Amino acid sequence: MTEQDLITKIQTLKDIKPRGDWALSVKDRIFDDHPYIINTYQPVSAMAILRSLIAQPRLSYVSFVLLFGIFIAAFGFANNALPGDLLYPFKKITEEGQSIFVLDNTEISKTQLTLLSKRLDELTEVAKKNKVRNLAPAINEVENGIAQAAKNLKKADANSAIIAEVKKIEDKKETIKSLGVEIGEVGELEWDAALVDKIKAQVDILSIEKLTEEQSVLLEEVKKDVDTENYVKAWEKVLLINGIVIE
Amino acid sequence: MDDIKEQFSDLYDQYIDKIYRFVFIKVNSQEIAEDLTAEAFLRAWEALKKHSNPHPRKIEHPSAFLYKIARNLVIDYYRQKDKLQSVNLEAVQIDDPSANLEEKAILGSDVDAVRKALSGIRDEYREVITWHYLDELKVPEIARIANKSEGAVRVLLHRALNSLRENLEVKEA
Repeated sequence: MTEQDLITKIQTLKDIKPRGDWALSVKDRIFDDHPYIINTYQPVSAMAILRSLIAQPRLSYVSFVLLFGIFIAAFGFANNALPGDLLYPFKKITEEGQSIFVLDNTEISKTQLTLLSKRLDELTEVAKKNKVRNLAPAINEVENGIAQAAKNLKKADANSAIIAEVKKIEDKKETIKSLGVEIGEVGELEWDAALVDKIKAQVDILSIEKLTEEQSVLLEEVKKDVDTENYVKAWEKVLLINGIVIE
Repeated sequence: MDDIKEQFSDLYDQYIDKIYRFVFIKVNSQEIAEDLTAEAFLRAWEALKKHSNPHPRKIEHPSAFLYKIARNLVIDYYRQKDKLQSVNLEAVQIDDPSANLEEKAILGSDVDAVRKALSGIRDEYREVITWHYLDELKVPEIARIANKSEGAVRVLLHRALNSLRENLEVKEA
């Protein structure tokens, strides 16, 4: 057999070929079944850089101190944040942290009323400075605050501190209305219902008690105030009758 | 990304037949040849992506690149199967369930005879014959793939042909 014969025989092996459909499917699989391939050149995110910094042992302590510093600074700056601002959640966390250890119902109610008062201050600031972006979140915060305060008000005992907070809230609500901002009706109704509950319970008790002439006059005024929806005035008078508030 | 995808697609089309044949001649099984060839191209694609990060780059010696990957996969395959020595082709052909009728029809008697003869010679002889006479690689390219000098490749080719001729003549006799 000559060398050329041998080479000719070898070249018959060129008939060995892969199946056409197999070759196509492998190509498709390589490109399509590995979608992560497409992401090879995605830009590195800030979080990825942060994660890589934390993962490095030498930098982990520095990273921790840095993050802690950023965290504390965020809480510091958050004091002036308004609803809708980036740092506002930090402000809420701080406030909620302060009220978490209060257990007495009246104290809880007082805390909720104080917080509602702050939410109303925020909404007033937003309205006065015409911060359109913050308006909807601020109204939302006020409505949530009213709902929460109304719920706790029902459980609280009547005292001068509570009524003082309620009076402040009513005044602030009036200011907000004068600025042309409408607070949701549902929240208002819940708030009024809470006040009416408190007053009616007191009126029922006082109606069966022996009152002085002056107290009887005041009780009649309370009933009229309730009818005309002057709940704060009515409540003040209830406290006067009980001697809790001295005129 | 599209650049390297296009580059790899061209590479795939150009070399799929050659790499498959190279692997098939070594393992004598359609099924195993398909698996190893697919794996070789997948590894090549992964390597190309790494090589092209962050900027698309071309593979300078694509044939050397692909044959080396395929060759290493075949070595790994035999290492795993504890089959470092050459496979007895005749035994494989009888037992191989994937050797379908179409395949048998395509491969005529001459092809079959050369395959059997090739399976009886040393692996490095088989490789240089495949590369030079089937895939038409030049001696310098083979030298690059096999990590040998060009002179050593020429000697190897000469010895490989003699060995194959002897084997064929023995089988034909």
